Amino acid sequence: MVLGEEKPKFDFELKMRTSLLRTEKWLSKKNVLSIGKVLTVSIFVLLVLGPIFYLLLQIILSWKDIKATVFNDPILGNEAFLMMLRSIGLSLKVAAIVTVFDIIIGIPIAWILARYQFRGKNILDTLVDIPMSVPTSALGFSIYLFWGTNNGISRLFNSEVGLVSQGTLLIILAHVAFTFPYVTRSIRGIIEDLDLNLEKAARTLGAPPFTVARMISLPLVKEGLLAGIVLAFTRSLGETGATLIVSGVYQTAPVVIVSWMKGLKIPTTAFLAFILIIISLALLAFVRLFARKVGLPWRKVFPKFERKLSSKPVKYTRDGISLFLFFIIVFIPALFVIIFLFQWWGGSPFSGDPQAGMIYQVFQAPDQKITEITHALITSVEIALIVTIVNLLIATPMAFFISKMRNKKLKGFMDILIDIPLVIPSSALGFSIFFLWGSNGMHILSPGFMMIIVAHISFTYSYCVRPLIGSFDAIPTMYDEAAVAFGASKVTAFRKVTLPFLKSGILAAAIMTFTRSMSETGATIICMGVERTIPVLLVDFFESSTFPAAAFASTILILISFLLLLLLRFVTRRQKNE
Amino acid sequence: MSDIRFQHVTKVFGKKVEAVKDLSFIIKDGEYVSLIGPSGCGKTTTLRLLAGTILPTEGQIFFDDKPMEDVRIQDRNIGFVFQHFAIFPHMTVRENIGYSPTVRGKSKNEIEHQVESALKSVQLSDKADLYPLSLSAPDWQKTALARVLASEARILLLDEPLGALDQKIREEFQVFLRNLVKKEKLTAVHVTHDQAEALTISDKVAVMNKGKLIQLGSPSDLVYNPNHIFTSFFVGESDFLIGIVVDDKQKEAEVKIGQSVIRTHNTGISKGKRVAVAVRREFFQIEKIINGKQLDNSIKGTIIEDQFLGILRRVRILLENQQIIEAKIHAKHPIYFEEKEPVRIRIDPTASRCFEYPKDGIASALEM
Repeated sequence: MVLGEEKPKFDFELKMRTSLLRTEKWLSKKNVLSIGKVLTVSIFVLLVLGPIFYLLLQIILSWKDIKATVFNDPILGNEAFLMMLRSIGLSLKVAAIVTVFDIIIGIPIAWILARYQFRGKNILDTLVDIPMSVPTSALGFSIYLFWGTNNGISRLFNSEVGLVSQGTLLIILAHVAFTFPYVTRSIRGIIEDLDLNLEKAARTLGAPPFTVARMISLPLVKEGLLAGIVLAFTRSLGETGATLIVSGVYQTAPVVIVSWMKGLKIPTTAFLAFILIIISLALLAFVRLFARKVGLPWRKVFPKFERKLSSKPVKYTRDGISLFLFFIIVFIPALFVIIFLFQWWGGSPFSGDPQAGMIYQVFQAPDQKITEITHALITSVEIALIVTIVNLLIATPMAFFISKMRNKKLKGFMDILIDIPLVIPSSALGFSIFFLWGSNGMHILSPGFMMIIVAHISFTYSYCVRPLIGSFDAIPTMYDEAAVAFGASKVTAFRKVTLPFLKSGILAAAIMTFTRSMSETGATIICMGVERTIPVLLVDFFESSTFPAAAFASTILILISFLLLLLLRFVTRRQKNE
Repeated sequence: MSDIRFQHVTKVFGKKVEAVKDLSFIIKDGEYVSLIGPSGCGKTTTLRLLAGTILPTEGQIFFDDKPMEDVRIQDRNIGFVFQHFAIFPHMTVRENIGYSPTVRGKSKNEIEHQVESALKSVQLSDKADLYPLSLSAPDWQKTALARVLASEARILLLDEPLGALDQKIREEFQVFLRNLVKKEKLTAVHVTHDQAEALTISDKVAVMNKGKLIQLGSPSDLVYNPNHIFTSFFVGESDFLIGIVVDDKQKEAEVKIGQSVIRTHNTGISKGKRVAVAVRREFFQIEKIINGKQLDNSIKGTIIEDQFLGILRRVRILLENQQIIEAKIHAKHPIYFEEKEPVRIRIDPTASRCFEYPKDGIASALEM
């Protein structure tokens, strides 16, 4: 009887399985597959590239209006244009200086991580990543507290005021903290993979270690390094969250976008976003097309000088300085907010006033900040979750498609397209989304929850596709060829053979996407309407000078991103072991 | 002058792994020396010690009586040729070759002169301005050699330099390499796993095992005068006949194997001792037994099989003391042997050697 009972269930399963296989077979048909491809690419174009190109197009089409408002405003004349120039000038200057610092700190740290074996290497490795995953507004706030108020470094000097006031220097300090990891990350892996024999050969030919690193190792990581530098540069150029906090009256271009957007000066904002996008695209194109051809003026040798640089004491000093800079510029300021939180836990450390303390401000004050914080946190998590799921759905086929592309030129081209959202300032990207989907364009969405989601999908797209392409590339094709040879349809082969290989790759992409979405400020501010995500709420708290409450929110954000980072490292390490 | 002297050099990796143990030897100026031995024998470690990429745990290395302890890699004036060449991929052949004079701060004229003469020595002038990626393995090899020549190194260290080349080109390069080293009057230390290459190319060959130097001698010494059971085992193919010394003279011993007594070259072993007589497989002479005629200096045996190998034939024989040996004879050898056929195996006293039977059995001495 037992057999009789089980039989119908078995039949049902079999039926499900055969119909699944039949669907997959239908999906594997050539024209269905091509429709899938077209669909994947069109979603990418519509969601990610569409807004950017719509903005570019609109600027050109409505050039007359732009000219009228930007250059010949009846009241302000070309004041708007001059302000644009000033802000872009400041942004470029900051980005350039920041990039130099990134190189000075980033390269030696990449070298230390790639080549040295020491206790605590894993910890340093994680520390380097923290500033990259913590929301920049929290980071900026923490850095401001450390350098710019009398709670931080100025205590060492018994000073009543902060050491560095809001302005260019503070912007640079903040930007270095979260952009240098791009330099470190971009070359660390390549340094690890370099053929050590090349360096040994150079040593036996008479070159001291410094000369070897300069003439042999660095030129070989040149492409990765340039890519990292461009990322660092564009991140600094386009950063909003931290900059809003540390800039004071000095407005960088993304900050100007945000403030003009708040004043609803749409045409001028559009024009500024346009210029920022053009600069970023030009940089991206330059690096992707010419990186290989850039010769570095590194052929000349200064034997005596370089010999001195290679001596052991100099080497230790160099490494020491890099690590010192890392701790004093990046690590301590980035996490100082946690110390601040404890200083201000139950009251002001200066006056002892409990109403200035965190407990009162967050939990007891009549405005009930804790409800705001919880609500914003929930909104942030909801958005991040939806964005992650949607992005995985649209990015996985795209990654598969690009990875399997045979036409190298086309593949290279797609590769550049994928990187576009990565380099464009997120506030400009957010604005272009608002411009296309909102009342000025198709008028499908108004600023709010949905528009934030669309904006986040578009700028996290690259973060999702990149690691997936890597995972797809790493899967040997013989497996799914074998599956197809045994009679599986292409889609079945993908589900049964390729996907299991991808598990940790997908997980890694998901965590990346989630983290990026959680921590975004610039694009969110443009598209949020009355919604608040937690990084934006933090900026609000800062602007209303309720620092202990802001510190509370920052600490929560830092903890969340730290946990996500640990999760990511755990997942990627498992992926490597597999 | 570029003598190399190792003085009780020991290298320990980590806490326990002794890669090289108490190594002492001298390589004279202008000698071409090969290091051979099973993998893990310490030959590559020896080369790295010479290059200075690792330092000895104990002992000293001297170049021309100058201790190398505090001399860093870049100042040792050595040329290192790697198995996979380690050509700098981002530089042209010319820039690769000019690297050493450039980093040593030579003047432009000097650099150009050194590069040109090095290019000429390896016959690569026509490809000087190409990038390595567009070249083939033999040209990489030439670039690597030219790069070393231009560095004015007096000592050439070669780590499996021909390992990445095809068999045919390898053989051409063996001649090329030796001629080049001799012409430039360099001292060369060459690590290889290919003993035929070592025997062809070198003035002297060092056999190493388990971090120790077993024998350093000319190629013919290793073949005809092995002074250690491991040398006769590792260089070429030998069989070891187990017996007991029944009479010992200064240079010759009589060893009883089974019922037969044979004369063999002695290495100072006295009467009554158990020995292993090493005979190279190609030196066995197999004769059919005709009319019970006693063949001089021979042992009785039975054929197991006679197998065709191409240029050679392998004849497996069961000896009267129940040992099995393999003789290598020419494929055109006029006589074919039938299975179970009784034969006598003649042993040339000058091409065989007796070694004391190792305490823990023969395998322990041959263990790699």
